[in-house]
Amino acid sequence: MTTLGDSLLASGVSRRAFLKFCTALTSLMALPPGMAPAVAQALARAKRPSVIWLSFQECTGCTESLTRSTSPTLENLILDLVSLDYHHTLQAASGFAAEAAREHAMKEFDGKYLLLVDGSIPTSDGGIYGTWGGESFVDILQQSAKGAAAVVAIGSCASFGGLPKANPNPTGARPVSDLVKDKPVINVPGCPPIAVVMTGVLAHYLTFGRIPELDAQGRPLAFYGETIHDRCYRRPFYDQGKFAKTFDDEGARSGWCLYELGCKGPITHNACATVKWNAGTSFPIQSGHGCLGCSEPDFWDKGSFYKALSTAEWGDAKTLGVAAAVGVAAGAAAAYLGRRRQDRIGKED
Amino acid sequence: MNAIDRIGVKVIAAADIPTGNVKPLLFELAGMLEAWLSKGEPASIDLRSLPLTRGDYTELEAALGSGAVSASVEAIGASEVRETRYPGVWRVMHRNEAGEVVADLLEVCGLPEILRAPAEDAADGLIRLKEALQP
Amino acid sequence: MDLLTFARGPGMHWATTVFVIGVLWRLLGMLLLRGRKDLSEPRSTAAWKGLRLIGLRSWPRKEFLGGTAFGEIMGYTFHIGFLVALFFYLPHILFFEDIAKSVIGVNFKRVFGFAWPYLPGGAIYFFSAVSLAALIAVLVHRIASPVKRMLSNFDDYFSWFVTIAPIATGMLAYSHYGAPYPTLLGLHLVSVELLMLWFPFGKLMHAFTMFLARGVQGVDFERKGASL
Repeated sequence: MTTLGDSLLASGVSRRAFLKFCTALTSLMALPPGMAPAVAQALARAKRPSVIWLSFQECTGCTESLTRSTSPTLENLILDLVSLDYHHTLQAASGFAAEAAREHAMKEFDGKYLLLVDGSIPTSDGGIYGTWGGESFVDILQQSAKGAAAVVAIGSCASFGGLPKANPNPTGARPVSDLVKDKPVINVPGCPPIAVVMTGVLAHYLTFGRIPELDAQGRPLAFYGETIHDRCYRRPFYDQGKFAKTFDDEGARSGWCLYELGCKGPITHNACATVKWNAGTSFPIQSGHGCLGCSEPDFWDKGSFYKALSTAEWGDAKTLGVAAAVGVAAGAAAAYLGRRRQDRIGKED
Repeated sequence: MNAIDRIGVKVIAAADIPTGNVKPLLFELAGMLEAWLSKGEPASIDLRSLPLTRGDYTELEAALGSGAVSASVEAIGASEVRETRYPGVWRVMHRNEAGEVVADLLEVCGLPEILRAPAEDAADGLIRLKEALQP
Repeated sequence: MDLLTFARGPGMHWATTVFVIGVLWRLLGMLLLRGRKDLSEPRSTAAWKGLRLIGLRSWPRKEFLGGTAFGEIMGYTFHIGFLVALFFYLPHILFFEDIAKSVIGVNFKRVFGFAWPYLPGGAIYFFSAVSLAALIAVLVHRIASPVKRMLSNFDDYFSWFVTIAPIATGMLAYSHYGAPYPTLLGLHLVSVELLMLWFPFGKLMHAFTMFLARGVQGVDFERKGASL
């Protein structure tokens, strides 16, 4: 494998341009800008790795998010710096030729290739709900992970199970980390994840040759260390008690906090409030819609997107009605027993 | 008039409110300038890592102003280097070929690294100059 | 299942159920008992006027103030602070509104024309701090006084604990201090669920029984012609 530095020089990038690239990369990876020279040094020496991308039970939204930019951007240079040897949406080959390319890459770079996975893996009924080339996703994942240096679970489906895993989970969908136990797994959740977060994580691995620091859910701390609420620009309104009551009311138009409209910002870890989407254009709250909590596990099953975070699943009116009936019955029974005792004591007088 | 045109739209002002984050930033720059003057240590701040609103950027630009030097660099996209009214404090904005900002830094140093000619590029240039001088 | 998901799901579900069953069981178990037959001649024809005692007992007679002033003042401080924090903080209001709308069918605004008011978070934090201080003061007083200490049982201490826990965890959650916010929020909810589970079985039932007891006694006194 040639080094990344060589690849860039070969493509006519001057040293000055390379240093500019590394400065941008350092910012992308949420590292302090003073680290740019170290990044440059590491990147110049890093090997150009083979990357195999497996798409399982997914909607292709993660690929869409990553490849949105059609003009050559620094983010896309990342994709140019890797040898993307297998990707259903982006590759030209198909059928047996594609599978052959994948197997070839896995053999040639055994122990060194990076495995990217998007989509969850259906496991019910022997895994028949997801197959290609006659093999189940379960088998493909486990075989592909054997020779991988690391696995990156891209998107909420691969990281936590996502939409397929939502109640009642008919296909037995499971996240990558449930099935791959003996390799380092980086979770990059989001529905979809922010493009620069995905490339930033890849860049970190390419530059330093190791996975970044992860939180308890296996997410890179650099991007998932804080909640949306911690960095939300509408925070002053939250603190002052200025909340929008309905969509498009006066408060909503003045940009007030969306807590009452169901925003899950306080419990959601992601970089949306600072990095934002589409090169820093906006993010859901800025556009007037509360955070769905899409980078947290099982966010589909955590109650309505439009009910405030403080409203819990306390049951329903019917359950409370039954509870009330039970309480009344218990009270009546207790009173009956009490009365009998009262009568008995009365007789003893 | 379309029904859609009759929907009143209010431009959200919240994104333009200065949050008061500029003052501490200026204090940090003062500290960095002092460190550079006394110990020769350069330093930089990645503006995009801070929660700054549009209003904050306006306030910051007004506070820093512009100084004696401005330069533009063409390297996989345009980059702009501008000395602020405080010599040694530079605003360096890197853009890609699509014009999107890929890094926005405040550097405290004698000269931002991007302006220096790297030895490798100069060596390449020397080869080309010698070729051009051949009869 | 992580703490917050449990607390917002099955935890809240069961705590609410046990609370409803428990309170109704206790109240009906009391109310349906036979009252003692009073065979004497009633001195008043409008014995229901004795219900005034509920209000009259709100402050002790001055003869008793010497011994009771501390408890009364601390009691009011705690209750007012606690009730303001509970009922005038928007996230709490939304929680109750959600239940009320499901059970009753209409919301407050539709019935009364204005929305239930609320205070900004900082004010709520202040009221919570005051009620927390009052709770600590009464515990210290309880332990320091030899008579009170001797009279105190598990119910006294545990009821104190399940009352202070939601306030303390609520303040920690609001200030994002000590642990990641989802954990703090989960702890706050779990402490509230513990309070709800314990409520019907200990002296916290005074929230209901206090009014019943005063009312019954007032009517009784009025009937007998005793001064309230």
